[in-house]
Formats: sequence, C-alpha cells, structure tokens
Amino acid sequence: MGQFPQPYHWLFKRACRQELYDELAGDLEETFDENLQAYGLQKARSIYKKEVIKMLRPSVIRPLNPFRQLRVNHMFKNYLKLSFRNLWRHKEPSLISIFGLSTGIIASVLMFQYTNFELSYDSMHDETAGKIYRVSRQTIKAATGEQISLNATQFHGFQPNVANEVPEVLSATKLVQASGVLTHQNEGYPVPNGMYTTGSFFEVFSFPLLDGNPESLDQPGSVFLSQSLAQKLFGTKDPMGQQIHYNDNFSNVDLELQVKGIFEDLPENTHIQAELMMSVQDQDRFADNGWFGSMRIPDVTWRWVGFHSYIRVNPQTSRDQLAQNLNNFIQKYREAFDQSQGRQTIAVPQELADLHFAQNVNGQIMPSADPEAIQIFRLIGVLIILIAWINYVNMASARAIKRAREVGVRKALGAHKKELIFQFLIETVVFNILALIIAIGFIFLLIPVFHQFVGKPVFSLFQHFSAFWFNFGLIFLGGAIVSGLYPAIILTRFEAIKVLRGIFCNSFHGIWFRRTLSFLQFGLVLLLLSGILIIRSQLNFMMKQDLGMQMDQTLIIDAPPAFIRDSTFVARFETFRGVTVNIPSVRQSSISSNIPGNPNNFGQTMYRTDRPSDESVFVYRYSVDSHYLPLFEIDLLAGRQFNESLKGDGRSILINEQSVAELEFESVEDAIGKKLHYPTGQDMTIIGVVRDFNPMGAKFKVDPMAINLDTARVGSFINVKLGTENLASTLDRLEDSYREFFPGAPFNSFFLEQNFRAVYEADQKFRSVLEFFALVSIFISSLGIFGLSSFLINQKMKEVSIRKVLGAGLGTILNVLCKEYLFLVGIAAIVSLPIAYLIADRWLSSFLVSISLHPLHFVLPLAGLALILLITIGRKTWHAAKVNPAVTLKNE
Amino acid sequence: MKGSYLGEFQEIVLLAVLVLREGAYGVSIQKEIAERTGRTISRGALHSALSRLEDKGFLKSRLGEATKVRGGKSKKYYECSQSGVASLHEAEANRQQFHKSLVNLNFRSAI
Repeated sequence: MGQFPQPYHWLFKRACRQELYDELAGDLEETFDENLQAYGLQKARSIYKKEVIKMLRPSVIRPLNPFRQLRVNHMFKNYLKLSFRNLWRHKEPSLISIFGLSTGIIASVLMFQYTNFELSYDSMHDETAGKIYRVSRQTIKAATGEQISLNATQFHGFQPNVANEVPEVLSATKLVQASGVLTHQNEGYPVPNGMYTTGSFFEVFSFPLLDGNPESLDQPGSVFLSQSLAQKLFGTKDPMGQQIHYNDNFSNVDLELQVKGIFEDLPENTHIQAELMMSVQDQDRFADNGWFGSMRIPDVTWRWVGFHSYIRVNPQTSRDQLAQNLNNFIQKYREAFDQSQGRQTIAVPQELADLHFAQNVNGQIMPSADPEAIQIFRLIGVLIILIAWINYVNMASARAIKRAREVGVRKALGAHKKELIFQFLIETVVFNILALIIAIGFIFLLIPVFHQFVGKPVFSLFQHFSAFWFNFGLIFLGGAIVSGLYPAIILTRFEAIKVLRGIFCNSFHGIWFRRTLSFLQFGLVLLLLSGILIIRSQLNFMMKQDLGMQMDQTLIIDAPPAFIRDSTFVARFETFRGVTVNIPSVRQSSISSNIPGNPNNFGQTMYRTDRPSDESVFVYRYSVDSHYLPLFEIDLLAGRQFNESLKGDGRSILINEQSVAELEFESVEDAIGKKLHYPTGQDMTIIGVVRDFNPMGAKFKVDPMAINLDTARVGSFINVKLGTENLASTLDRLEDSYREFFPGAPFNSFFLEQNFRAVYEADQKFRSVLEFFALVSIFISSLGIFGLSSFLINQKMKEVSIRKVLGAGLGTILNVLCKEYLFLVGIAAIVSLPIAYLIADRWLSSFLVSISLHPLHFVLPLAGLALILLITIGRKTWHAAKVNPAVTLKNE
Repeated sequence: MKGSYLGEFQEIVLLAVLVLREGAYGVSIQKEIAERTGRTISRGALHSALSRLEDKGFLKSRLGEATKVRGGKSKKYYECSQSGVASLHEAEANRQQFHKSLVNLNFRSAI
C-alpha cells in the first residue's frame, strides 16, 4: 500500500540498481505490510526508513555510469543522419511542417520587431543625469473640477522661468511646430516639419549636434538644419554661415536666417520630428508686431499657448512632488486670469517615454499610438509561434505512431529510453533549425517590403534590441525542445513487445490531445476572421460618416508665402480666383486658414458679451472667404453668409452648432445678432450658424468653432473644387495662372482626400497589420489541418473500406470521415464567437461613433472556416471516400 | 579455492534456503533464520550473502510472479544448487571432525 514514507521510497527507487530493484523493493513492501499489521503505522514507517538506509550498500546502489553518456555521443552522428533521412523520405508532411513553422517564425519576428520599435520611442536620451518630462496643461472648471481640456502645450512664459523658480528643474526647453517654405538661390523647399525652439533643446535632449554651438539658437536670425536637409540645399558645400529665406505657412511672416548649426537627423522612433530649428526669439519678434492686437508679449506671455515644454528634472524627485511645485509656480502667474474665467490650470508632467502612447491629449506633435494595439500585436506574435509549434506537435505525434515499429525494434535491440528520447529530440531540433534558417532568409528579403507596409523603418534599429533577440533565441530553442518532447515521450512509452506484435493502436491520450489542439486552432481562426471583419466594418463606417462637408474632388494649393504679399496681394488674389473659376472644370475656389486633415490648434477663449466674462468657452477659429461654405457644401442653419461688400462683415462671425450649445444659446436663432468678445479685444457679431462639420473626421468630436471673414486674404490654403473632366490640363492651367499672378512663389498642390486620409493612416495601418498577421495565422493553421488530415484519413481507411463492403453509401462514408471535424468546428464556434463578441464590443465602445455588431460578423467567419476546411481536406476526403475497398483491405 | 569457503553466516543462510525448499525468498529466509536461531539479521546483510552465494554458484535464483502485497514487484526465489549442497556437507563434515576429536580428548579435561 502507499502508506510508506514517500521520500524514502523515492530515494530507494532512484538509488537502487535496476536488477535488484524488484526484489528488494518488494521485500521492503512486504515487510512493511507485516509490520503495519503487527505494530501499527508509526512503527512500520520508522522501520521502513531504517531498512532503506541500511539497504544502501555499495553492492546495491546503482552505478552512476559515465558509460551511458558515451553511448549517446557516439550515436549523435547517426541520429543526425536519421533525421535528415526521415525528412527526405516523408517529403510532404515534412515540408508542410517546416513551411508552417517558418511562416510562424517570420510573422512573429516581424511582429516583435515592430512592437519593440514602437515601445522604444524616445528611449535614446540619457536620463541618468535627470528625468525628462513634458509638462502638459490641464484646464478644469474651477467650480466643479471637471476637465475642460488636456493640452500638450504650455504657456509662453513657462519655460524661461521654470528652471529658476522650481528647484528640481535642471533645464527646460520649449518648441513650437512650424511649417513653411525655405528659399535659397530662388529654389523653394517646402519644410513641413520645422520648429522654433531654444538652445537648451540640446541640454534637455540627447540628440547629437554635429556642428555649431547650441547657444546660437537663442539668437534671432539663426537656423539649425538637419544633416539631410543641409545636404538637399547645399549639396557638398559647407552649409555653415549660408543665408536662407524662410516663410512661415501659418503666420505668413518672412525671416532671413543664417545657418549656425547642423544636427544629426532625428531618428524615426521619437515623437519629435524636425528638419529645421529656428529660435523662438524670431517668433516672438513678429508676434510682438501686432498678433495680439494692442497687447505686447509681456502682457500675453502667460496667455499665449502652443509651446511644447520639456524639462529635465533631478532624478530623485518624485513625480507628485514635481507636479505640486510646478502647479505652485504656474498659479503664481495664472491665478488672477484663471479666476476671472472661472477656471483653473493644472500642470501635468508626463514622462518622456510615455508620450508616444499618451491618449486624449490635444495638440500633440504626432498622433499617439494605441498602447492596446501594441499589446495585441505582441500577443499575436506569441500566438503565431504557438500555433506553428502546435501544428508540429500534432503532426509529429500523429506520425509517431507510424514509427512505432522502428521504436520497437530499437528497444528490442537494447536502446535505452533516454537514448530514444534523445534521438527524437535531435530530429525536432534539426527540424526547427531548418525552419529558422529558411525564416531568416525570407526575413531579409521581406524587410524593405515590411518597412513600406508599416510605414516605419523598424529593422534599422535591430542592434538595439540584441538583448531581446538573444532571449528570443533561447526561448525558441527551449520551445523547440519542449515541442519535441511530447512526441518523443509518447513513442518511447510503448512496450517493445506490444509494438512488434502490432497490437498498438491510437492511444486515448493522443486522440484527446489532438482534438484539443485542433479545437484551439479552429477557435483561433474564427476569432481572427471575425476580428478582421469587424475592424474593416468599423473603419469603413468611420470613413463614410457624413462629416457635414464634401471633400471629394478638391485640390489644395499652398497659398503664396508672405514675401509675395504686398499691398496689391488682395486684388491679385481675387483676380487669380476669378481666372481659376473660369477654367471649365473648376467649380469653385476659396481661401482658408486651414484644411481638413490638419489639426486646427488655433483657438481662443471667448465669452458672450451679454454674460459675465468668467463664463468663457474655448472656441477654435477658422478664417475663410465667402466662397468657402458653398465650396464644401456646408449647410447654413440660421442667419446669413458673409457678404464681402458689407464693410461690417470684417467683424462678423459664423459659429457652429457645437458653439451654440457650449455658449448656452437657447437656439440657433437666438445666437444671431449676439456678440462674442475675443481676447484680442474686439467684439465680433454672430451673423449665422452653420451645421456642425468635422474636418478631422468621425474619430474626433466636433469642437466649437467660430469662423471669421478673411478680408486680408491671409489664409494659407487655396481650395479648388474640380469637376472630373480634363484633370491633367486643368492642373497645368492652375499652375500656370498661379505662377503668373504670384511670381517667385513655389507651387505645391495635393488632393484634399489624401491629406484627410492621413488622419486615419494609423488606424488603417493597424488594420492592415492585423489583417496580415491574422491571415498568416490562418494560413499556418490551415497547413496544420491539411497535414493532419492526410494522416487521420489513412487511419480511418480500414473502417471506411469495411463499411463500403457492407454497403454504406457515399453520404455515410463522408459523414464518417468528416464528423470529427464538424464536431470540433461546432464546439470551437460556440466557445470562440462569444469571446469575439465581447472583445469587439469593448474595442468599439472606445470610438465616438461605432457600428453595431451584426450576426453576420460572426456567421461569415464560420462560413470562412468551413470554406478553409473544404479546401484543405475536401479533395483528400473525397478521394478517400471513393477508394475501392479491395485496395485497402487486401493488406489485412 | 579461495572463494569456496563457506562463512558461518553464509552457511546459516544456505541451510535456511534448503529448509524452505520451494518458498525461499528474501523475506521468508529472514523469518526462518529469526525463528530457528533467534537472530534478527538485516536485510542488507542477507542480500549480500545471497548475492555472494549466488556468485559462488551455491545458489540459483528465479523470478517468481508478482503479487499485490509486494506492490506488483516480483519475488526472487532461491534454490540450493548441487555445489551448494556439497559445500554444506563439506562444512558439516569439517565440524564433525573437530567435534569427534574433542570427544576423544574427553571434554572434561579440555576445559
């Protein structure tokens, strides 16, 4: 019985020589039982223990046997030979398995490299000397504490003073995004990502400065160029000291700049993207020249926002402590104004490494990535390899049975269990290494394609993740061994005699194991298929939403830079506009301050003149001419449009429905005629209300908007609505007219839809990547199903033949062959479709507008799976069903 | 020959095996010796002796059937071989010789 002390029992079992074990252990047990009867449990146990110890004599103990090792090493070469021979002999199943495994490896390597890249954003700075934070700005309603907005940018006055007044802050910098056009020797170079910043930029961040002194950036008239931009402009000449001209798109101001520094191209994996750095002093200078009406910079330094501010902080400081000190610092300057507006400003320091994934922060430099998406991708990376290994295990263990004879013979010839396991492990490792080599080969070929696909050069930083890949290699080896262990163990458990006699049949365990694995695969395929469908539906839905404006067939031309704009500009522009409209296929043309797809960061707090000033609302501003609304077919709900002939319309504005709601007007009609006080000091009259339109698309909520008439035509974009005819010639004519009226201005045009779609690029990429990997997983699973099926069908052939002889019809036969699969598919559907529903529901709820889940989203995947099964096993099953029973049974 | 001496303990064991006839295996041998001579011997010593006797050729062994009591482990049965019996006779003969001499010498005077 099993009451004896287990550790001793185990010890004796391990230590005793095999030949003597039966005899001695048996003796021990018999005596134990007698003692149990005679003396009771305790005494019996202690006697047993003593006996075991006494039994451990040299003649009894099993030898440690170095000789065993030697045998295995000798056999190594033989095992290798065998592995290759086996692979070669069973080409079809081997090829399928290797192919499946390779695909799995390729897919998961790509996946992991991508996620590593995304996770490595902004990690290249040396933060040992000080932690880097961006100080974001949260505005809350003073009365309720409710958040009004969370912005990535800070006040103008924050950076210059923070290092002095907050002790933990070691250094601080700020940057303002700028886009504009560089001109050098009459060649124009559009530079969409530039910035105004301070010299301390290079103190806070570890980006290398190749030439020049960072302090030069604090002097107006200086510019730093990225290495590639310098090369583009100056070729091999020395860029330092060269004069270039810059025109800012937003403000239309012109700057004469001298190149004072060259910095190394900013890498892809940072949220700061800039080719060009200018001094904030330059922006200050022309801002001071009338941007704020009668106010000067010192008046607005704590009201002007748009400055992304970064600080380097003493590493010992806790984030909470820092936040508190920063708040106190800001309150000193903002309290008065905030109180008058009924708000409070709170400093929110955000760690640099987190910025790439920061959600719900307005005005970020680059759209943030979805952290959940990254986690999903990592999961998929792991899943894909698991699926590939599961396939291998399935197929190997199935084939193992065919090799039972070989195992039987080997055992009869005296092979030890360990040796057999070793042999099969070698086979598995060879197999895995082959797959790995093939995979690596393909990966190299696929790198450029993959980069295009994801839009980021993720493999350029391969060496950075060498630690990761080393671990991956180890895990791979470990996994390979483990996946080989199962088939190896099944095989070697067979008792040699039974196998040779051919009594062996499918082990019960084996069948259930294979069923579970197939079930898992089916479930996974269903999950992935429904995922793909749902994501596609949602994205299409979002793209097709009625945005309140028509963006098709619209060409955007960058408006001429400021140095072109002299006193004749307005007249020239109007003539130009008239000419363009006369081109046959041009329907309408208009000028505006911004275009759909570009985030509008221009907003101000304004309040109704008939309400107290602390009930102010943050409203985004748009400047357009009177042709804008008709061009985009934006509906006017109340009031009237702009009328250029009315002088007073220079002080008129149109607001959208959202503004009506936030400014608490009773109705759209109620808003007409009321006035809003702008922070620049003027009161603007509301002459009309437009239907909400969403220039950024369905993903974003509609913000309150106030549109004013651009009497001076300072807008940066010319919108041209085209018909479909004669596109090429129309474009040429537009370009010619442009150059005629605005000599010296670079002509740059693009279609609005392109720009707009860029907003959804990240989502589309996510969808593409997910789809791709889902399809890869499905492919691997299909391979597995295919491989396994040929084996299983063979197993059933005997049964099928007998049934046929007994008169079974084709239908019954097909039923026999397929019913196991159908059963598994059914169960997989029951389990995985509800899971798919739950996950999808959660994902969809994070969107402002979402589709509702439809049964079709789940039925189609099922149909898809059925189709896959049909394709993979259909042909074989059909042939098997038709085989003449005599052929199979003649071997019995 | 060197290995053909029969130690006293080995002799006892051999005798026990003979006495037990068919059913001589580890546990039963141990019990038999305990009953007849009152000696409790350790299993280890017993098995060493059994092994040596087998090596010397005095014992033969065979594997018996497994029984539930022994947890499914089969018993090893021992049997005296011809040479085993012969060596016992020889040992007995030697002893007899000594004792005869003692009787001739008159026990009393030997003390």
